[in-house]
Amino acid sequence: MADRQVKIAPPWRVAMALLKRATTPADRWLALFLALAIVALGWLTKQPAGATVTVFVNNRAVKTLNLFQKQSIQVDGRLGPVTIETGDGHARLLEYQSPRLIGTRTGWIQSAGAIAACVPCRVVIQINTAPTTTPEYDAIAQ
Amino acid sequence: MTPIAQPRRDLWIAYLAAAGIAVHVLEATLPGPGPWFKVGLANIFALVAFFKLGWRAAAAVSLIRVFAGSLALGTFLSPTFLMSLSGACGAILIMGVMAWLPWRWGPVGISLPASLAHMGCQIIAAHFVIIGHSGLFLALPFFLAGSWITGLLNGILAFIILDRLDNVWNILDEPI
Repeated sequence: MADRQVKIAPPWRVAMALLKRATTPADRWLALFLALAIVALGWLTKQPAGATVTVFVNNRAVKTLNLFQKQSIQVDGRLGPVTIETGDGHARLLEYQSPRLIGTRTGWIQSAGAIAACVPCRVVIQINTAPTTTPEYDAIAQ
Repeated sequence: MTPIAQPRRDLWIAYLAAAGIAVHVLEATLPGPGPWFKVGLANIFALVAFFKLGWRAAAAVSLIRVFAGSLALGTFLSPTFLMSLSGACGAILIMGVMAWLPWRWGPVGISLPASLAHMGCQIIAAHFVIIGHSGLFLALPFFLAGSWITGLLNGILAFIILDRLDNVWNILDEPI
């Protein structure tokens, strides 16, 4: 009896064949269009990089730091000192006394509007929008 | 995928809605990031209804599933239910628009926009009833990317079910 080689199609080819059978041409174009639209939406809503970070203690802004200046300051939170580090365009909050260390675990933040917070310490840092790079006067003032 | 006779339509709507409710309840027990983000396998039956019985039947299956599913889970009239209902309404509306367009759609072509509309309407509802923060909309592209994937998956599963049902449908449709 001659050995017959049974060829089994690899799974990805089975999946592609199923996809091809399951869709009409209109389906495929629509899927592509929607995927591109979602990517475009993600790109459009991407927040610009921030320039400064504001430190809030007990809901009051106590300090604003430049994100591009390497710096490390300490503020007094409700549970003890909290360190805020800045540099290279991002900032982070380091607390060691809070139960879950959510603020520390947030890590470095850089986009405008992003926040890192230690709620039990009552310390929040928020990145501010970058100031416009063009001078703030108009044609008449020039 | 041939349309079926009038007398059995309501029966089929009931069958599909029942299947949808069962999957809805089963899916609620699966772990996930939250009740507003799951694969939405229950919507497969609305898709089957759309292709077999038309848009009105799909709307019926979807709405019955949302109401009865929430009653079964005890979330009736809760924020979760409101999000689910608004999502279903958005999906139904977009299905109607797709049916009206001249191109020939398969299950995937209906499932994808319906899934995205479902997510979009859910987020809008969430904005009003749960998180009144505009930062929610910044996460929208990520949610939509997730629903693109689940929409594709549901479309393919609906195609497989429709494919198999073609053999069963006519047998079940014989007069008793």
